[in-house]
Amino acid sequence: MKKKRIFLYVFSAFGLAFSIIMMGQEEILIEKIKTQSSALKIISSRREQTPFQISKEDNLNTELVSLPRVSDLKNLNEHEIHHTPEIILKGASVVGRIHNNAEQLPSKRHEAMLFFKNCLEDENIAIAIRAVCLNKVYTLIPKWRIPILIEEDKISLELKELAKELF
Amino acid sequence: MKKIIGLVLFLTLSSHISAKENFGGIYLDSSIPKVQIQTLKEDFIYLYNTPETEVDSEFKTVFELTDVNGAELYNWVFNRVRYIVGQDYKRTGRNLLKKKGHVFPSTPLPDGVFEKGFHTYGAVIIMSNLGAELYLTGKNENILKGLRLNREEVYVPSPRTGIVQVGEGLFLERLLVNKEQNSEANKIKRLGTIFHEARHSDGNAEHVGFIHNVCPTGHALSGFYACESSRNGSYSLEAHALKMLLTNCHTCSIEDQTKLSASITDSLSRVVVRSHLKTEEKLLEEIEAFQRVVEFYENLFKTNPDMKKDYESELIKFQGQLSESEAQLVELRTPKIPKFLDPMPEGHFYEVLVEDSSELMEASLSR
Ligand SMILES: [Zn+2]
Repeated sequence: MKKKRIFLYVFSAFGLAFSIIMMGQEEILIEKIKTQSSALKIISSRREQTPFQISKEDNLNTELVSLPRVSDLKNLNEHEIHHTPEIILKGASVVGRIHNNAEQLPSKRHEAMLFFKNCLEDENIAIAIRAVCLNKVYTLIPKWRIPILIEEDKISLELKELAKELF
Repeated sequence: MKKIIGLVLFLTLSSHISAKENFGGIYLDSSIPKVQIQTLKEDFIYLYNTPETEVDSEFKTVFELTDVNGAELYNWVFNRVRYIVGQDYKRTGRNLLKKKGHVFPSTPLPDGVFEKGFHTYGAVIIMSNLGAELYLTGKNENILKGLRLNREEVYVPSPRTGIVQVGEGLFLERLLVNKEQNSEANKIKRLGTIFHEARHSDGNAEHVGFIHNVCPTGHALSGFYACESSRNGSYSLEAHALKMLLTNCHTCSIEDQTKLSASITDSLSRVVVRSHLKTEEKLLEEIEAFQRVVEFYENLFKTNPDMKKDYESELIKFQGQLSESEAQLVELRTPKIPKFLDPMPEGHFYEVLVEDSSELMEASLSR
Protein backbone atom coordinates (compact mmCIF):
# COMPACT_ATOMS: atom_id res chain seq x y z
CA MET A 1 0.00 0.00 0.00
CA LYS A 2 2.83 2.36 1.07
CA LYS A 3 4.87 1.33 -1.95
CA LYS A 4 1.92 2.09 -4.17
CA ARG A 5 1.61 5.62 -2.68
CA ILE A 6 5.34 6.27 -3.13
CA PHE A 7 5.05 5.11 -6.71
CA LEU A 8 2.14 7.49 -7.25
CA TYR A 9 4.11 10.43 -5.77
CA VAL A 10 7.11 9.67 -7.95
CA PHE A 11 4.88 9.27 -11.00
CA SER A 12 3.10 12.60 -10.32
CA ALA A 13 6.43 14.36 -9.80
CA PHE A 14 7.61 13.04 -13.17
CA GLY A 15 4.33 14.13 -14.72
CA LEU A 16 4.69 17.63 -13.26
CA ALA A 17 8.28 17.92 -14.39
CA PHE A 18 7.29 16.71 -17.86
CA SER A 19 4.46 19.23 -18.19
CA ILE A 20 6.76 22.06 -17.01
CA ILE A 21 9.24 21.05 -19.69
CA MET A 22 6.44 20.86 -22.27
CA MET A 23 5.03 24.22 -21.18
CA GLY A 24 8.48 25.67 -21.46
CA GLN A 25 8.76 24.25 -24.95
CA GLU A 26 5.40 25.74 -25.90
CA GLU A 27 6.49 29.14 -24.62
CA ILE A 28 9.73 28.82 -26.54
CA LEU A 29 7.71 27.89 -29.59
CA ILE A 30 5.41 30.91 -29.22
CA GLU A 31 8.46 33.14 -28.76
CA LYS A 32 10.07 31.60 -31.85
CA ILE A 33 6.92 32.28 -33.85
CA LYS A 34 6.80 35.87 -32.55
CA THR A 35 10.43 36.50 -33.47
CA GLN A 36 10.08 34.96 -36.91
CA SER A 37 6.89 36.90 -37.40
CA SER A 38 8.44 40.28 -36.62
CA ALA A 39 11.46 39.41 -38.75
CA LEU A 40 9.17 38.62 -41.63
CA LYS A 41 7.26 41.84 -41.09
CA ILE A 42 10.43 43.91 -41.32
CA ILE A 43 11.34 42.14 -44.53
CA SER A 44 7.81 42.51 -45.78
CA SER A 45 7.84 46.29 -45.32
CA ARG A 46 11.32 46.49 -46.81
CA ARG A 47 10.06 44.53 -49.80
CA GLU A 48 7.94 47.40 -51.05
CA GLN A 49 11.00 49.56 -51.53
CA THR A 50 13.55 47.01 -52.66
CA PRO A 51 11.65 43.92 -53.83
CA PHE A 52 14.71 42.06 -55.06
CA GLN A 53 16.79 42.20 -51.89
CA ILE A 54 15.05 39.41 -50.05
CA SER A 55 17.33 37.06 -48.24
CA LYS A 56 16.94 33.45 -49.36
CA GLU A 57 17.27 32.38 -45.75
CA ASP A 58 13.90 33.91 -44.89
CA ASN A 59 11.64 30.93 -45.05
CA LEU A 60 8.64 31.20 -47.36
CA ASN A 61 9.10 34.92 -47.77
CA THR A 62 9.48 34.51 -51.51
CA GLU A 63 6.16 32.68 -51.55
CA LEU A 64 4.58 35.40 -49.43
CA VAL A 65 5.61 38.19 -51.75
CA SER A 66 4.38 36.21 -54.74
CA LEU A 67 0.77 36.33 -53.51
CA PRO A 68 -1.58 38.58 -55.53
CA ARG A 69 -1.93 42.14 -54.26
CA VAL A 70 -5.02 44.32 -54.33
CA SER A 71 -3.09 46.58 -56.72
CA ASP A 72 -2.58 43.65 -59.12
CA LEU A 73 -6.36 43.20 -59.35
CA LYS A 74 -6.80 46.84 -60.30
CA ASN A 75 -4.55 46.30 -63.30
CA LEU A 76 -6.75 43.60 -64.81
CA ASN A 77 -9.29 44.24 -67.56
CA GLU A 78 -13.06 43.67 -67.60
CA HIS A 79 -12.69 40.24 -69.23
CA GLU A 80 -10.13 39.02 -66.72
CA ILE A 81 -12.18 39.89 -63.66
CA HIS A 82 -15.62 38.53 -64.60
CA HIS A 83 -14.59 35.10 -63.35
CA THR A 84 -11.90 34.26 -60.77
CA PRO A 85 -8.69 35.83 -62.16
CA GLU A 86 -5.66 33.72 -62.92
CA ILE A 87 -3.56 35.56 -60.32
CA ILE A 88 -5.96 34.48 -57.57
CA LEU A 89 -5.72 30.85 -58.67
CA LYS A 90 -1.92 31.09 -58.80
CA GLY A 91 -1.82 32.59 -55.30
CA ALA A 92 -4.11 29.86 -53.99
CA SER A 93 -1.81 27.29 -55.55
CA VAL A 94 1.10 28.67 -53.50
CA VAL A 95 -0.95 28.56 -50.29
CA GLY A 96 -2.17 25.04 -51.09
CA ARG A 97 1.34 23.73 -51.78
CA ILE A 98 2.64 25.11 -48.49
CA HIS A 99 -0.27 23.49 -46.64
CA ASN A 100 0.29 20.20 -48.44
CA ASN A 101 4.04 20.15 -47.72
CA ALA A 102 3.42 20.82 -44.05
CA GLU A 103 0.78 18.13 -43.95
CA GLN A 104 3.36 15.61 -45.22
CA LEU A 105 6.25 16.94 -43.11
CA PRO A 106 5.24 17.95 -39.58
CA SER A 107 8.57 19.77 -39.15
CA LYS A 108 7.36 22.36 -41.69
CA ARG A 109 4.14 23.15 -39.86
CA HIS A 110 5.33 26.07 -37.74
CA GLU A 111 6.81 27.73 -40.78
CA ALA A 112 3.57 27.14 -42.70
CA MET A 113 1.45 28.50 -39.87
CA LEU A 114 3.58 31.62 -39.77
CA PHE A 115 3.16 31.98 -43.52
CA PHE A 116 -0.64 31.79 -43.17
CA LYS A 117 -0.51 34.39 -40.39
CA ASN A 118 1.54 36.80 -42.49
CA CYS A 119 -0.73 36.19 -45.46
CA LEU A 120 -3.97 36.89 -43.59
CA GLU A 121 -2.62 39.95 -41.80
CA ASP A 122 -1.27 41.66 -44.92
CA GLU A 123 -3.90 44.15 -46.01
CA ASN A 124 -2.25 44.54 -49.42
CA ILE A 125 -2.91 40.91 -50.36
CA ALA A 126 -6.15 40.14 -52.25
CA ILE A 127 -8.95 39.39 -49.80
CA ALA A 128 -9.89 36.09 -51.48
CA ILE A 129 -6.41 34.74 -50.65
CA ARG A 130 -6.30 36.27 -47.15
CA ALA A 131 -9.63 34.60 -46.39
CA VAL A 132 -8.24 31.22 -47.47
CA CYS A 133 -5.20 31.76 -45.21
CA LEU A 134 -7.44 32.75 -42.28
CA ASN A 135 -9.55 29.65 -42.81
CA LYS A 136 -6.38 27.52 -42.80
CA VAL A 137 -5.38 29.07 -39.47
CA TYR A 138 -8.85 28.50 -38.01
CA THR A 139 -8.81 24.83 -38.99
CA LEU A 140 -5.12 24.00 -38.52
CA ILE A 141 -4.53 25.47 -35.03
CA PRO A 142 -6.41 22.60 -33.37
CA LYS A 143 -5.38 20.03 -35.98
CA TRP A 144 -1.65 20.74 -35.84
CA ARG A 145 -1.82 21.90 -32.23
CA ILE A 146 0.14 25.04 -32.98
CA PRO A 147 -0.81 28.26 -31.19
CA ILE A 148 -0.47 31.47 -33.14
CA LEU A 149 -1.19 35.08 -32.29
CA ILE A 150 -3.41 36.87 -34.78
CA GLU A 151 -3.50 40.64 -34.74
CA GLU A 152 -7.21 41.25 -34.43
CA ASP A 153 -7.09 44.83 -35.70
CA LYS A 154 -5.77 43.57 -39.04
CA ILE A 155 -8.79 41.35 -39.67
CA SER A 156 -11.90 43.07 -40.93
CA LEU A 157 -15.39 41.72 -40.37
CA GLU A 158 -15.63 41.01 -44.10
CA LEU A 159 -12.43 38.93 -44.02
CA LYS A 160 -13.69 36.88 -41.08
CA GLU A 161 -17.04 36.29 -42.74
CA LEU A 162 -15.37 35.12 -45.97
CA ALA A 163 -13.07 32.74 -44.07
CA LYS A 164 -16.04 31.31 -42.17
CA GLU A 165 -17.86 30.61 -45.43
CA LEU A 166 -15.30 27.88 -46.10
CA PHE A 167 -16.24 25.83 -43.02
CA MET B 1 -53.91 22.96 -71.08
CA LYS B 2 -50.77 25.06 -70.49
CA LYS B 3 -48.94 21.91 -69.41
CA ILE B 4 -49.96 20.08 -72.59
CA ILE B 5 -48.78 22.99 -74.77
CA GLY B 6 -45.54 23.05 -72.80
CA LEU B 7 -45.02 19.34 -73.23
CA VAL B 8 -45.75 19.50 -76.99
CA LEU B 9 -43.32 22.39 -77.33
CA PHE B 10 -40.77 20.53 -75.25
CA LEU B 11 -41.07 17.32 -77.25
CA THR B 12 -40.93 19.22 -80.55
CA LEU B 13 -37.79 21.01 -79.46
CA SER B 14 -36.20 17.88 -78.00
CA SER B 15 -36.71 15.97 -81.21
CA HIS B 16 -35.35 18.95 -83.08
CA ILE B 17 -32.27 19.03 -80.91
CA SER B 18 -31.77 15.30 -81.00
CA ALA B 19 -31.46 15.52 -84.80
CA LYS B 20 -28.36 17.62 -84.23
CA GLU B 21 -25.41 17.04 -81.94
CA ASN B 22 -26.73 17.20 -78.44
CA PHE B 23 -26.17 15.68 -75.07
CA GLY B 24 -28.69 15.27 -72.30
CA GLY B 25 -31.00 17.51 -74.34
CA ILE B 26 -28.44 20.33 -74.51
CA TYR B 27 -27.52 21.44 -78.02
CA LEU B 28 -23.76 21.50 -78.56
CA ASP B 29 -22.87 23.55 -81.63
CA SER B 30 -20.34 22.37 -84.20
CA SER B 31 -18.35 25.57 -83.48
CA ILE B 32 -17.19 23.95 -80.24
CA PRO B 33 -13.97 21.96 -80.75
CA LYS B 34 -14.50 18.20 -80.38
CA VAL B 35 -12.23 17.93 -77.37
CA GLN B 36 -14.22 20.64 -75.58
CA ILE B 37 -17.50 18.91 -76.46
CA GLN B 38 -16.21 15.70 -74.88
CA THR B 39 -15.12 17.58 -71.77
CA LEU B 40 -18.48 19.34 -71.44
CA LYS B 41 -20.33 16.02 -71.79
CA GLU B 42 -18.23 14.51 -69.02
CA ASP B 43 -18.85 17.58 -66.84
CA PHE B 44 -22.62 17.20 -67.26
CA ILE B 45 -22.41 13.50 -66.45
CA TYR B 46 -20.40 14.34 -63.34
CA LEU B 47 -23.05 16.84 -62.27
CA TYR B 48 -25.85 14.40 -63.01
CA ASN B 49 -24.13 11.79 -60.81
CA THR B 50 -23.91 14.09 -57.77
CA PRO B 51 -25.17 12.09 -54.79
CA GLU B 52 -27.96 13.30 -52.51
CA THR B 53 -26.16 16.07 -50.62
CA GLU B 54 -26.80 17.76 -47.30
CA VAL B 55 -26.69 21.52 -47.82
CA ASP B 56 -27.54 24.52 -45.69
CA SER B 57 -30.86 26.32 -46.00
CA GLU B 58 -29.25 29.23 -47.87
CA PHE B 59 -28.31 26.87 -50.72
CA LYS B 60 -31.89 25.63 -50.97
CA THR B 61 -33.21 29.19 -50.87
CA VAL B 62 -30.99 30.57 -53.61
CA PHE B 63 -31.37 27.54 -55.88
CA GLU B 64 -35.06 27.11 -55.00
CA LEU B 65 -34.49 23.40 -54.51
CA THR B 66 -35.82 21.17 -51.77
CA ASP B 67 -33.68 18.14 -52.68
CA VAL B 68 -30.09 18.47 -53.78
CA ASN B 69 -28.97 15.63 -56.02
CA GLY B 70 -27.60 15.11 -59.51
CA ALA B 71 -30.95 14.96 -61.32
CA GLU B 72 -32.22 18.16 -59.64
CA LEU B 73 -28.96 20.04 -60.22
CA TYR B 74 -28.78 18.97 -63.85
CA ASN B 75 -32.40 20.01 -64.31
CA TRP B 76 -31.58 23.40 -62.78
CA VAL B 77 -28.81 23.93 -65.32
CA PHE B 78 -30.85 22.44 -68.18
CA ASN B 79 -33.65 24.96 -67.66
CA ARG B 80 -31.14 27.79 -68.12
CA VAL B 81 -28.59 26.40 -70.55
CA ARG B 82 -30.14 24.75 -73.62
CA TYR B 83 -27.76 25.77 -76.39
CA ILE B 84 -23.99 26.02 -76.19
CA VAL B 85 -21.90 27.57 -78.96
CA GLY B 86 -18.13 27.75 -79.27
CA GLN B 87 -15.73 30.68 -79.18
CA ASP B 88 -15.55 30.83 -82.98
CA TYR B 89 -19.30 31.04 -83.45
CA LYS B 90 -20.10 34.28 -85.32
CA ARG B 91 -23.19 35.92 -83.93
CA THR B 92 -23.34 38.48 -86.69
CA GLY B 93 -24.28 38.43 -90.39
CA ARG B 94 -26.61 35.65 -91.42
CA ASN B 95 -26.40 34.01 -88.00
CA LEU B 96 -28.12 36.95 -86.30
CA LEU B 97 -31.89 36.74 -86.72
CA LYS B 98 -34.33 39.61 -86.26
CA LYS B 99 -38.11 39.56 -86.28
CA LYS B 100 -40.45 42.52 -85.91
CA GLY B 101 -43.85 42.50 -84.26
CA HIS B 102 -42.97 40.60 -81.10
CA VAL B 103 -44.61 41.93 -77.95
CA PHE B 104 -42.15 42.11 -75.09
CA PRO B 105 -43.32 42.36 -71.47
CA SER B 106 -43.93 45.99 -70.53
CA THR B 107 -41.45 45.84 -67.67
CA PRO B 108 -38.65 48.37 -67.24
CA LEU B 109 -35.16 47.61 -68.52
CA PRO B 110 -32.20 47.36 -66.16
CA ASP B 111 -30.61 50.70 -65.29
CA GLY B 112 -27.64 51.79 -67.37
CA VAL B 113 -27.18 48.41 -69.06
CA PHE B 114 -26.86 49.88 -72.55
CA GLU B 115 -24.58 52.76 -71.61
CA LYS B 116 -22.09 50.45 -69.99
CA GLY B 117 -22.27 47.85 -72.76
CA PHE B 118 -22.39 44.16 -71.94
CA HIS B 119 -19.51 44.02 -69.52
CA THR B 120 -21.37 41.40 -67.52
CA TYR B 121 -21.42 39.04 -70.44
CA GLY B 122 -18.14 40.19 -71.84
CA ALA B 123 -15.95 37.37 -70.66
CA VAL B 124 -16.00 35.56 -74.02
CA ILE B 125 -12.65 34.14 -73.14
CA ILE B 126 -14.24 31.88 -70.50
CA MET B 127 -18.00 31.78 -70.89
CA SER B 128 -20.83 34.23 -71.60
CA ASN B 129 -24.60 34.23 -71.69
CA LEU B 130 -25.61 35.26 -75.20
CA GLY B 131 -29.30 34.59 -74.64
CA ALA B 132 -29.62 37.25 -71.94
CA GLU B 133 -27.74 39.76 -74.08
CA LEU B 134 -29.89 39.05 -77.18
CA TYR B 135 -33.08 39.27 -75.15
CA LEU B 136 -32.11 42.59 -73.55
CA THR B 137 -30.85 44.29 -76.70
CA GLY B 138 -33.89 42.93 -78.56
CA LYS B 139 -36.28 44.26 -75.93
CA ASN B 140 -34.52 47.63 -76.00
CA GLU B 141 -34.87 47.85 -79.80
CA ASN B 142 -38.31 46.18 -79.78
CA ILE B 143 -37.07 43.48 -82.17
CA LEU B 144 -37.13 39.78 -81.38
CA LYS B 145 -33.57 38.58 -81.88
CA GLY B 146 -32.26 35.09 -82.35
CA LEU B 147 -29.42 33.00 -83.69
CA ARG B 148 -29.09 30.51 -86.52
CA LEU B 149 -27.63 27.37 -85.03
CA ASN B 150 -26.68 25.11 -87.90
CA ARG B 151 -30.00 25.18 -89.78
CA GLU B 152 -32.20 25.83 -86.83
CA GLU B 153 -33.54 29.31 -86.10
CA VAL B 154 -33.53 29.91 -82.37
CA TYR B 155 -35.32 33.08 -81.33
CA VAL B 156 -34.91 34.55 -77.85
CA PRO B 157 -38.30 35.61 -76.41
CA SER B 158 -36.92 35.17 -72.88
CA PRO B 159 -33.46 35.10 -71.27
CA ARG B 160 -34.45 31.54 -70.37
CA THR B 161 -33.99 30.51 -74.01
CA GLY B 162 -30.57 29.70 -72.58
CA ILE B 163 -27.91 30.30 -75.21
CA VAL B 164 -24.38 30.39 -73.84
CA GLN B 165 -21.00 30.66 -75.46
CA VAL B 166 -17.96 28.80 -74.16
CA GLY B 167 -14.48 30.14 -74.77
CA GLU B 168 -11.12 28.45 -74.57
CA GLY B 169 -10.67 30.02 -71.11
CA LEU B 170 -13.06 27.45 -69.69
CA PHE B 171 -10.58 24.73 -70.63
CA LEU B 172 -7.24 26.49 -70.15
CA GLU B 173 -4.91 24.90 -67.64
CA ARG B 174 -3.87 28.23 -66.16
CA LEU B 175 -7.51 29.07 -65.42
CA LEU B 176 -8.28 25.66 -64.03
CA VAL B 177 -7.27 23.86 -60.88
CA ASN B 178 -4.74 21.28 -62.03
CA LYS B 179 -3.11 19.87 -65.16
CA GLU B 180 -5.54 17.03 -65.73
CA GLN B 181 -8.35 18.46 -67.91
CA ASN B 182 -10.92 15.95 -66.69
CA SER B 183 -9.95 15.72 -63.03
CA GLU B 184 -12.76 16.09 -60.51
CA ALA B 185 -11.36 19.44 -59.37
CA ASN B 186 -11.39 20.84 -62.91
CA LYS B 187 -14.90 19.55 -63.53
CA ILE B 188 -16.02 21.31 -60.35
CA LYS B 189 -14.32 24.55 -61.42
CA ARG B 190 -16.01 24.49 -64.85
CA LEU B 191 -19.38 23.57 -63.37
CA GLY B 192 -19.09 26.56 -61.01
CA THR B 193 -18.72 28.78 -64.08
CA ILE B 194 -21.66 27.04 -65.77
CA PHE B 195 -23.87 27.69 -62.72
CA HIS B 196 -22.74 31.33 -62.76
CA GLU B 197 -23.66 31.79 -66.42
CA ALA B 198 -26.89 29.82 -66.02
CA ARG B 199 -28.07 32.38 -63.46
CA HIS B 200 -27.75 35.10 -66.11
CA SER B 201 -30.73 33.36 -67.80
CA ASP B 202 -33.01 34.36 -64.90
CA GLY B 203 -34.68 37.47 -63.54
CA ASN B 204 -37.21 40.01 -64.68
CA ALA B 205 -37.68 43.74 -65.19
CA GLU B 206 -34.78 45.76 -63.72
CA HIS B 207 -32.82 42.64 -62.96
CA VAL B 208 -33.32 40.60 -66.14
CA GLY B 209 -30.21 38.49 -66.54
CA PHE B 210 -29.07 39.20 -62.97
CA ILE B 211 -26.74 41.79 -64.41
CA HIS B 212 -23.71 42.58 -62.29
CA ASN B 213 -23.41 45.87 -60.43
CA VAL B 214 -20.45 48.20 -60.34
CA CYS B 215 -18.14 47.30 -57.46
CA PRO B 216 -18.31 50.16 -54.95
CA THR B 217 -15.60 52.54 -53.80
CA GLY B 218 -13.30 50.77 -51.42
CA HIS B 219 -13.70 47.39 -53.13
CA ALA B 220 -10.62 45.88 -54.79
CA LEU B 221 -12.52 45.77 -58.10
CA SER B 222 -14.02 49.22 -57.64
CA GLY B 223 -15.43 50.57 -60.90
CA PHE B 224 -15.74 47.18 -62.62
CA TYR B 225 -19.12 45.57 -63.29
CA ALA B 226 -18.06 42.54 -61.29
CA CYS B 227 -20.10 42.71 -58.10
CA GLU B 228 -23.68 42.08 -57.02
CA SER B 229 -25.76 43.46 -54.21
CA SER B 230 -28.22 40.56 -54.05
CA ARG B 231 -27.65 37.31 -52.22
CA ASN B 232 -28.92 35.08 -55.03
CA GLY B 233 -26.99 36.39 -58.03
CA SER B 234 -24.43 34.63 -60.22
CA TYR B 235 -21.48 35.06 -57.86
CA SER B 236 -23.41 33.72 -54.86
CA LEU B 237 -24.68 30.77 -56.84
CA GLU B 238 -21.24 29.96 -58.19
CA ALA B 239 -19.81 29.99 -54.67
CA HIS B 240 -22.60 27.78 -53.29
CA ALA B 241 -22.26 25.35 -56.18
CA LEU B 242 -18.48 25.11 -55.82
CA LYS B 243 -18.76 24.54 -52.09
CA MET B 244 -21.39 21.81 -52.50
CA LEU B 245 -19.47 20.04 -55.28
CA LEU B 246 -16.23 20.30 -53.29
CA THR B 247 -17.78 18.44 -50.36
CA ASN B 248 -18.42 15.53 -52.73
CA CYS B 249 -14.94 15.55 -54.29
CA HIS B 250 -13.11 12.29 -53.67
CA THR B 251 -9.88 13.05 -55.47
CA CYS B 252 -9.26 16.74 -54.71
CA SER B 253 -5.79 17.26 -53.27
CA ILE B 254 -5.09 19.93 -50.64
CA GLU B 255 -3.85 22.19 -53.43
CA ASP B 256 -7.01 21.57 -55.47
CA GLN B 257 -9.18 22.27 -52.44
CA THR B 258 -7.28 25.48 -51.74
CA LYS B 259 -7.69 26.74 -55.32
CA LEU B 260 -11.39 25.96 -55.32
CA SER B 261 -11.69 27.64 -51.91
CA ALA B 262 -10.08 30.79 -53.31
CA SER B 263 -12.59 30.70 -56.14
CA ILE B 264 -15.37 30.55 -53.53
CA THR B 265 -14.00 33.47 -51.49
CA ASP B 266 -13.32 35.42 -54.68
CA SER B 267 -16.95 35.00 -55.76
CA LEU B 268 -18.33 35.84 -52.33
CA SER B 269 -16.11 38.90 -52.01
CA ARG B 270 -18.11 40.32 -54.92
CA VAL B 271 -21.42 40.07 -53.05
CA VAL B 272 -21.39 43.47 -51.47
CA VAL B 273 -23.41 45.91 -49.53
CA ARG B 274 -21.50 49.18 -49.82
CA SER B 275 -21.28 50.04 -46.13
CA HIS B 276 -19.68 46.71 -45.22
CA LEU B 277 -16.50 47.90 -46.80
CA LYS B 278 -15.83 50.80 -44.45
CA THR B 279 -15.64 51.20 -40.70
CA GLU B 280 -17.86 53.70 -38.86
CA GLU B 281 -14.74 55.61 -37.85
CA LYS B 282 -13.68 55.91 -41.49
CA LEU B 283 -17.12 57.11 -42.57
CA LEU B 284 -17.27 59.72 -39.78
CA GLU B 285 -13.86 61.00 -40.89
CA GLU B 286 -15.08 61.25 -44.49
CA ILE B 287 -18.25 63.07 -43.46
CA GLU B 288 -16.32 65.55 -41.34
CA ALA B 289 -13.86 66.27 -44.14
CA PHE B 290 -16.59 66.76 -46.76
CA GLN B 291 -18.63 68.89 -44.37
CA ARG B 292 -15.66 71.22 -43.94
CA VAL B 293 -15.29 71.66 -47.71
CA VAL B 294 -19.04 72.21 -48.22
CA GLU B 295 -19.13 74.80 -45.40
CA PHE B 296 -16.13 76.56 -46.90
CA TYR B 297 -17.81 76.94 -50.31
CA GLU B 298 -21.13 77.99 -48.76
CA ASN B 299 -19.44 80.74 -46.73
CA LEU B 300 -17.33 81.76 -49.73
CA PHE B 301 -20.44 82.32 -51.85
CA LYS B 302 -22.07 84.32 -49.05
CA THR B 303 -19.16 86.72 -48.82
CA ASN B 304 -18.18 86.63 -52.51
CA PRO B 305 -21.30 85.95 -54.59
CA ASP B 306 -19.30 86.52 -57.79
CA MET B 307 -17.31 83.38 -57.21
CA LYS B 308 -20.42 81.21 -57.23
CA LYS B 309 -20.42 81.12 -61.01
CA ASP B 310 -16.98 79.48 -61.19
CA TYR B 311 -17.12 77.23 -58.16
CA GLU B 312 -20.73 76.14 -57.79
CA SER B 313 -20.04 72.87 -59.56
CA GLU B 314 -17.38 72.08 -56.96
CA LEU B 315 -19.87 72.66 -54.15
CA ILE B 316 -22.38 70.34 -55.83
CA LYS B 317 -19.70 67.67 -56.24
CA PHE B 318 -18.74 67.78 -52.57
CA GLN B 319 -22.37 67.87 -51.44
CA GLY B 320 -22.86 64.68 -53.47
CA GLN B 321 -19.90 62.99 -51.82
CA LEU B 322 -21.12 64.10 -48.41
CA SER B 323 -24.57 62.59 -49.02
CA GLU B 324 -23.00 59.35 -50.25
CA SER B 325 -20.92 58.99 -47.09
CA GLU B 326 -23.94 59.86 -44.93
CA ALA B 327 -26.04 57.25 -46.74
CA GLN B 328 -23.30 54.65 -46.20
CA LEU B 329 -23.23 55.51 -42.49
CA VAL B 330 -26.99 55.01 -42.22
CA GLU B 331 -26.59 51.68 -44.03
CA LEU B 332 -23.76 50.63 -41.73
CA ARG B 333 -25.79 51.48 -38.63
CA THR B 334 -28.74 49.48 -39.85
CA PRO B 335 -27.04 46.24 -40.87
CA LYS B 336 -28.80 44.37 -43.60
CA ILE B 337 -28.13 41.26 -45.55
CA PRO B 338 -28.04 41.49 -49.34
CA LYS B 339 -31.55 41.38 -50.78
CA PHE B 340 -33.12 38.40 -52.48
CA LEU B 341 -34.09 39.12 -56.09
CA ASP B 342 -37.04 37.44 -57.75
CA PRO B 343 -35.44 34.89 -60.11
CA MET B 344 -38.66 34.39 -62.14
CA PRO B 345 -37.62 34.97 -65.77
CA GLU B 346 -39.73 37.16 -68.02
CA GLY B 347 -40.92 36.45 -71.55
CA HIS B 348 -41.96 33.16 -73.13
CA PHE B 349 -40.25 30.05 -71.85
CA TYR B 350 -41.20 26.62 -70.55
CA GLU B 351 -39.96 24.96 -67.41
CA VAL B 352 -38.76 21.39 -67.96
CA LEU B 353 -39.54 18.91 -65.21
CA VAL B 354 -36.74 16.99 -63.54
CA GLU B 355 -38.18 13.70 -64.86
CA ASP B 356 -37.90 14.98 -68.44
CA SER B 357 -34.35 16.32 -68.22
CA SER B 358 -33.29 13.09 -66.46
CA GLU B 359 -34.86 11.07 -69.26
CA LEU B 360 -32.88 13.04 -71.83
CA MET B 361 -29.69 12.47 -69.88
CA GLU B 362 -30.39 8.76 -69.44
CA ALA B 363 -31.01 8.46 -73.18
CA SER B 364 -27.63 10.10 -73.89
CA LEU B 365 -25.89 7.87 -71.37
CA SER B 366 -27.30 4.69 -72.85
CA ARG B 367 -26.27 5.66 -76.40
ZN1 LIG C 1 -21.49 37.05 -64.68
